[in-house]
Amino acid sequence: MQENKDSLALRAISVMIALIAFILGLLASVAALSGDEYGRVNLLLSLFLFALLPAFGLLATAVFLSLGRRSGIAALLVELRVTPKRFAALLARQGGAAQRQRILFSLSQGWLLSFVAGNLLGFALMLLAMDISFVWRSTLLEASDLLPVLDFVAMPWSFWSAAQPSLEMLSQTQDFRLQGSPNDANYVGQWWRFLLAAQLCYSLSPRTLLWLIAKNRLTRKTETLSTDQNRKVSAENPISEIDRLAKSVTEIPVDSILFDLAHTPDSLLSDIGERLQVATIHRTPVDLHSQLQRVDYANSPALVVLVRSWEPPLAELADSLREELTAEQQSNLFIAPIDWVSAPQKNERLVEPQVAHTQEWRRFCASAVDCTHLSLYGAKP
Amino acid sequence: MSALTLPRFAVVGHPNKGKSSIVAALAQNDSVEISSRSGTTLQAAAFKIRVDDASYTLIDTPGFQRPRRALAWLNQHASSADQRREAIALFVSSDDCAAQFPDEVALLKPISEGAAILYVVDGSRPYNPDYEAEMEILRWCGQPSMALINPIESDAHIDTWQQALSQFFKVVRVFNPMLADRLRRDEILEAFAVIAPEWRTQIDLVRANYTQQDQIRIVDAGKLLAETLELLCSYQLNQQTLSKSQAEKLKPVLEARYFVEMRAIESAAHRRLKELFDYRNLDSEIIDLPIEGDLFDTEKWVVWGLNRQQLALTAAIAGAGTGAAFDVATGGSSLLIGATTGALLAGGGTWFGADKIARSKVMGLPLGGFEARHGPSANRNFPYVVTGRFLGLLEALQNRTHARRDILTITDSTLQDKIDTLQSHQRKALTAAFHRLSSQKVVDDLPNTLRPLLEAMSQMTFK
Repeated sequence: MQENKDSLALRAISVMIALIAFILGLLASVAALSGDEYGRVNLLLSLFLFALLPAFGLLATAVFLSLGRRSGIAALLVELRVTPKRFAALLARQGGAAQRQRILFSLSQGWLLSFVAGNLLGFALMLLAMDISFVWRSTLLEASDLLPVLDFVAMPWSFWSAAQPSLEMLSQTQDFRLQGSPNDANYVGQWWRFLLAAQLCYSLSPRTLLWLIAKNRLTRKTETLSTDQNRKVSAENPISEIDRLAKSVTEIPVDSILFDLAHTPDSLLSDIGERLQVATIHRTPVDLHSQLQRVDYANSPALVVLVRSWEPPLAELADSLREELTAEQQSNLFIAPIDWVSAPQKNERLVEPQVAHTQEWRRFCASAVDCTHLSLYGAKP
Repeated sequence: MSALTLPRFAVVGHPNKGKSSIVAALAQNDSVEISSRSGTTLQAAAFKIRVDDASYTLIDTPGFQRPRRALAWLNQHASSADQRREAIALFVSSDDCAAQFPDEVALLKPISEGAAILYVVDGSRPYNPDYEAEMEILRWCGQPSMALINPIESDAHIDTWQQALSQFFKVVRVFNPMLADRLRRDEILEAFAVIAPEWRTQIDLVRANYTQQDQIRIVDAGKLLAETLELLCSYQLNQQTLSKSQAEKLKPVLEARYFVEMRAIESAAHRRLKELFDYRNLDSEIIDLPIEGDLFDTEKWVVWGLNRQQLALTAAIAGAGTGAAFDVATGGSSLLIGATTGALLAGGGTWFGADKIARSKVMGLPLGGFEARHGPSANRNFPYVVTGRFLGLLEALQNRTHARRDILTITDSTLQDKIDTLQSHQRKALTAAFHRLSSQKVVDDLPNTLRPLLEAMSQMTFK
């Protein structure tokens, strides 16, 4: 929000400066073309305003661009604190240095374009409302000396013959104040085409082009920055944590059958067997499938399967249990995930399985085979 | 280079042994789904890792669910070693197998299409012969293979796992995706090239590009820090009012907004830094940015927010311009009298008439008033504080892996240690730059001034 406010404030100030530049441009044209009491306007001074000054400006821009200081003179003015503090502060809040340079470059081209537009409007108004006689004066130069320079200046619009200088035009418009006003009226008015072409070529066209490029780059970069900031990688939905958990017990009927799928150490396994008072222990069956087929369920009230708590339940275990046990037998099935530690010189002892592991097995009991979870850790010996 | 000839590694193993974590750490992608629940990965998912013009692919796969039965099926379809690869090909293409062994088909398919094998086990738990069926299946594939022992909780059983795994795999490495810095990752990439020499050129290019990418990231981080410093050190809030008392009443409002927005600027910079290091889902926490001192002030303004001095200067320039037009019109014979007079008249008139202008109204709107301001911070230490916090995050990101999903707590980096490692001229340039920043002056080429500091930090991190 602050960013938007700043941008709007910056734009308002910028428009104000552009307006001032436009008025200055207009006044400069009017002043340059006012002439003396005979309506005579110094061609060379007009040329200075409409061709030489813009050409130097373009050269300065090119130099700053090649040095990598896109904001050029405008940046220097900001640095020298000539600009209003508010403008400098607003500018400072526009992203990083590179972004600020882009903004300043775009704004300064806009201001220069406004000045040029003011120039052109003043030029047009003066041509419409005044009878301007363009003359030139020089103590040192002759028409033949000046012609090559003007020809060089007019090279870019060589296709426009009416706007080209000629020796005859130059000779006929050279003014000597002592002689009064002997200039040929046919020629003194013709220079406006040359001056217009100079403005179009050295001011309006390049500045418009630079302004468009600067504006385009700024817009593109601003959009990129905005996209970057808004970019978010959508995260996968977490798996639902509300899955059903099987009932958990700590005791089972005596004389059950125990299957050890956990590769439980001998001492620990016999402890567990004693504690549960099981009838039979089947140690680490290689093929659970066939082992389950050989069990006499008629004399066994329940079946206990010991598993390693940290190993996730596999579909293979669920397949075997589902295939070999009836629904009733599954209801008398207990799965006991265990964890243990081995202390040097001592027997292994059970430790409490991690909560995540217990949950994993209880989910398995509920969803895969509909059996009961047996917690051996903490159960009474 | 076609997609199939580019290096491809299928990360396979028992469920919940950290396969996805390994993919996230190696791919440096924190959007890889990791869960403490088994069976999270249901389909093989390929992550193409592009590092400039080099790339390789890691394929995250579901864990083995029916290894013994799958091996039994394979044994029925291959009576001798020469038929094993064909049996695997038949297994992955069979509709019956896809129905009976969906997980095994999903994980073996990329391997049968040419991917090398990265087999992952948990080194914190004892070896279990139940794993032998799946290792046997992988051996049948006949593809280049490597085992990674992931010490999820501890390294208690690494030795026994190494002994067992070396019988099935040519290369066995210990790799903890939660602690894997760039050197560890590079070691694994080097091991990839060992198991699959035909991919060495591409993998070496990836490694070289990773090194280059690290350097580019430091440069980009320097630019981001420079932007952030410039923004935070010059940040100011202002509000125009009609009277001084109204302006002073705004103090608490502006103060609160200033703190919130300064912190928002810093948060945005931290988010961009995380994104620079490919952390797009990482949550972090940090103590609030300390902003000290009374930064509130009020000042009179006249027209367009300019103060008396600025308004007089603007008027003088405009007056000089107008007068200069007169000078041009006279062909210079006025000897710049126009410009001088214009500047003096306009500037002087505005200076002395500023109060009157401020009191006047145009269409009911006042031309002047007071401005309440908060900021910018002029504290000399402020740029150091911002930099310390930024480098704290940078350091944490460089030490972190994309497999971690916990909240990152950012602590200030010990800035002085890093500054001490700089050369004398670099230290001076940094001090001068920070001084200019705290005086709200523009610093030329701030990113390059900051770069040695970031490089020093980076070197200390990986020492």
